[in-house]
Amino acid sequence: MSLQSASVARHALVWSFVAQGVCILPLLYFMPYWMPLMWLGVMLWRIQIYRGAWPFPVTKIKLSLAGVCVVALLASYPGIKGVEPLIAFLIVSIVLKVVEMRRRADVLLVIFTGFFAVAAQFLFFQGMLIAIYSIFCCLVLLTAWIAIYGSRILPFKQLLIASSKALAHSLPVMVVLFIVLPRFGSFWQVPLANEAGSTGFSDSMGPGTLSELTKSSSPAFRVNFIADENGNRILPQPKERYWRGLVLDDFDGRQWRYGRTWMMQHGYNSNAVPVNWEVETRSDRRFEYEVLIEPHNQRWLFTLMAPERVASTSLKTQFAGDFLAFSRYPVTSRAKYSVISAPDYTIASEQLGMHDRSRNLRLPEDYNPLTVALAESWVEEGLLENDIIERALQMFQSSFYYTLRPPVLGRHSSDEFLFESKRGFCEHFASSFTILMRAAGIPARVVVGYQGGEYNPLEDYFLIRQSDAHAWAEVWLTGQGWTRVDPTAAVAPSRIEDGLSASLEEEEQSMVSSGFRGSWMSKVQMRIDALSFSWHRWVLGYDAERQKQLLKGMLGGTEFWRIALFALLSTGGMLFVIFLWLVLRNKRAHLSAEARVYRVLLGKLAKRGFKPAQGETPLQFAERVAQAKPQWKSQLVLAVKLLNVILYQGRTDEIPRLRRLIGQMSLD
Amino acid sequence: MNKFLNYKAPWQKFFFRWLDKRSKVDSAYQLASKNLYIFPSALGFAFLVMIVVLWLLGTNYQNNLILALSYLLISLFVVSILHTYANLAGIEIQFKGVPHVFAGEVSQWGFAIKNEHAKSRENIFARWQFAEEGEDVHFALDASSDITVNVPLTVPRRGVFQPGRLMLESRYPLGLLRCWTWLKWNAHVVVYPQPLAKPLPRAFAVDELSDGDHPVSGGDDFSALNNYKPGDSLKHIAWKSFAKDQGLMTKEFSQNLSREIWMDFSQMKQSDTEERLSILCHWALAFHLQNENYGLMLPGTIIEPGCGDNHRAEVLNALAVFGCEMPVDLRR
Repeated sequence: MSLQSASVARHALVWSFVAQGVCILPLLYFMPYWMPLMWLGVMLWRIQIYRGAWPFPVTKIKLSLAGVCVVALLASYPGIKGVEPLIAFLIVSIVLKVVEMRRRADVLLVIFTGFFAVAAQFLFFQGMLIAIYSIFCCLVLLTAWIAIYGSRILPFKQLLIASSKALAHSLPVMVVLFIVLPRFGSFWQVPLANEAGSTGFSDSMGPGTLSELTKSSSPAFRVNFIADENGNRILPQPKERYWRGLVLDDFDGRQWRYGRTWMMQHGYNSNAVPVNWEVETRSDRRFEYEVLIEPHNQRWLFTLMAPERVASTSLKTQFAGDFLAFSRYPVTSRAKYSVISAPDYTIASEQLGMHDRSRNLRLPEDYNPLTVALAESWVEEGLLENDIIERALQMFQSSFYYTLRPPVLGRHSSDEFLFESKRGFCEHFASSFTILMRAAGIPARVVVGYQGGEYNPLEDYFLIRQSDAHAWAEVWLTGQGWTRVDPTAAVAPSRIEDGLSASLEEEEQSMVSSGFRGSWMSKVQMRIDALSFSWHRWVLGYDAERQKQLLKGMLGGTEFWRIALFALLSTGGMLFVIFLWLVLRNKRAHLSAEARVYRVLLGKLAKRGFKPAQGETPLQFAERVAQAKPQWKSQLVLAVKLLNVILYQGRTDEIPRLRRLIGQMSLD
Repeated sequence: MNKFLNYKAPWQKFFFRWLDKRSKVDSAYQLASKNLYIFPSALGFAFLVMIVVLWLLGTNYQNNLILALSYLLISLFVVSILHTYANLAGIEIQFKGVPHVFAGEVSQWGFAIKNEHAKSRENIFARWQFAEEGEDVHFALDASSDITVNVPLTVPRRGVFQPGRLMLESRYPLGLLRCWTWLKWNAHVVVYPQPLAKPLPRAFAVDELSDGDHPVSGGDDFSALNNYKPGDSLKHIAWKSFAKDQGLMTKEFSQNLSREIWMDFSQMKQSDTEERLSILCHWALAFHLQNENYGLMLPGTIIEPGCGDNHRAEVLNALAVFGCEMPVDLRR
């Protein structure tokens, strides 16, 4: 029985190889290329040992193998950073363990680390499919586990049934625990996965940056709008769906950049916009919404203008200048934040600070001379700010094309675009427009983010994909403050109203990975995404706040006693049912019908203190009882004789009579 | 046996005392909640530690799926309490008997174990409380089946012994929990002294009788051919006559007893009682094999000379119980 000495049956070893392989398979995708090879090598080695072809390795070989692996790990992860090296180390150790695995304790170690491997999968993947796969992993691990605890070789089917039962009985209890157990914040900072989720744009924009993104239909974030206390919910019009990510106000002639340092002077955790920001709201209209953001490994968050509050339980949100919302740390896992935005706003309408003004007018020397000259000519014509904007937009509208395949531009990108190619994507329009404005003396900047979004009626949310990435401009107008101007809207208004696909020529539509918009496939896709959204909302995004909501809805309050009572009753009830099923089910199933009837008689007699002795036949027993209680004799002997008739003459048709006889027996 | 089952540990003594108070001695039991105990094993505690680590991981990464995994494993732990219990509950076990043994030998205690349920029972482990290393039995029970299991126990001394408590244990399916029972049995074994080959005092071969005075049937010398009577030994049938169609005949053998041997405890020169008994035991076995007529004189017990298996059993029994007729607990 001792753990150390117990060796393991061979079939149980096979199960543990399989279990380990299944658990580390998804992780190998993120591991260095040599690791799958090592795993295959170790498996081959172990199979040879298993077949008896090779001996178990001696200590010297084991040590040198471990040494080689450590060196390989150090070579693959030079600056040990992130969680990958840790997981790689875990995998290497448990894979090497397999070579010398032969005792029960070894197998248990492999199984326990298998559960850690399953947990590690969740650091990289969090979808519904990986959850289903992980249940499969647990099933295989449990099967291997049970295989080493059987005293005999259990058939495959029986093993699988035993492990499925254990898992099936645990899952409902887990669901209750998941719902009720309290959630805590992180206790300490942990290393994060480097490679998980890295789509999205960076903090700079050059020609071609966004058109690359449109090839990806993967989701950027999902938004659901929340009704206010009166049940009214305001959804933004398509032309209002500008999800601001970053403000790019630093132009070096080629690239637009975010020109500020990361650390803002405003304190952390301040959910509300600082009071000294000069924002006025012109109406009571408010958008209240929750954003479920995919990990993009960046710190910026997406909001509709003008955000008033940003809050989150998992991200430490804060505001930076220019109404940008940030997370304190890069978003490396799916996260949720809620925002309140006031769509009818004016910002800094009276005057722009000297510093801000000069930054938003700055243009590099010796770049785009023709563009600058054009803008200056407009100023010389005596046009006012609004007229200059109007003139620029008209120019775009009259002779420019919106295309995903703009020609390659040289040093004076804006000049070439405005005066030669006249074909471009949103970044070209936004960039040229901003240069024009700055040259004309109007403070202007480029804003990148997403525009639009697909409404999913099944779960009532908007899905914003990478292909919705967009760039537009903001100009500062005297008396109006910062105002959004989207030059792309002038060229391709349908881009804003109907999305990217609709605004492109037919031949280019196939280039946009919009996810089959409009076809029957889109309905399927919508359903899948709705499922995925529910998954995110109810499983991945189930946090303390949502827990409170749910428990309040379910139990009518979140007092401790309510939750404890609910947890006890529900888990207790489930366990009780499982207990009954395990212990009582089939208890007497193999007893024949007459034996069950006879049992009733035995029960009646047992209550009165009579028990059959070892080896006593029913007739002997009845006679013995009759000696003590002569008044029962006739009933007992009749019943027992009938029983014998049934037993020895096969008269099963008499069973109902016997049952009646015994049922009516009065033993006083 | 692993170190967690140290029967001499104070808490184990306390546990047994408590057990004795609430359980009776019986010769048949059905395992149920009143006699089954369950507690996490060392592996179970290790598993709980692993769950805590996973939970910390999930909380620190704010990863609901890792948290869910840790909750799944907690549930698995709780559910496996029921599964482990169900693997033993409902089993019926009945004491069948134990053959006599000599001191120092392993006694085999037979139990009939019955599983009436429609599911099989796996990996059950049985051992006696005072069993030595390796004296244990592993068995499994198919659905609706019964088997006989012999549980070994080394008995070091002669006498009449109660075997102490029988432990039945199972950790199936996951080894996280140990479910066990301690059953005290209405059973005892008679342990004969360990035979010790030493010469008998010459004075024992008393009652020298002359040849032919006491012809006693049985023995090696062929004396007559009789008609076969039911009950005659098959070994003695004269098959040759049967082959010659002379009917079934039985060969009669007789032996002229030369002597009656009295083994007298009081006349032995060894000072140690146990040694004397051991020597007597050896000679009783030897005389039995030689078909001698031997009797035994112990203080307070006299067994007239005789031979045969029953006589042998009577003699050995007298040697075994000498000075200790009442069954006592076997302790080391």
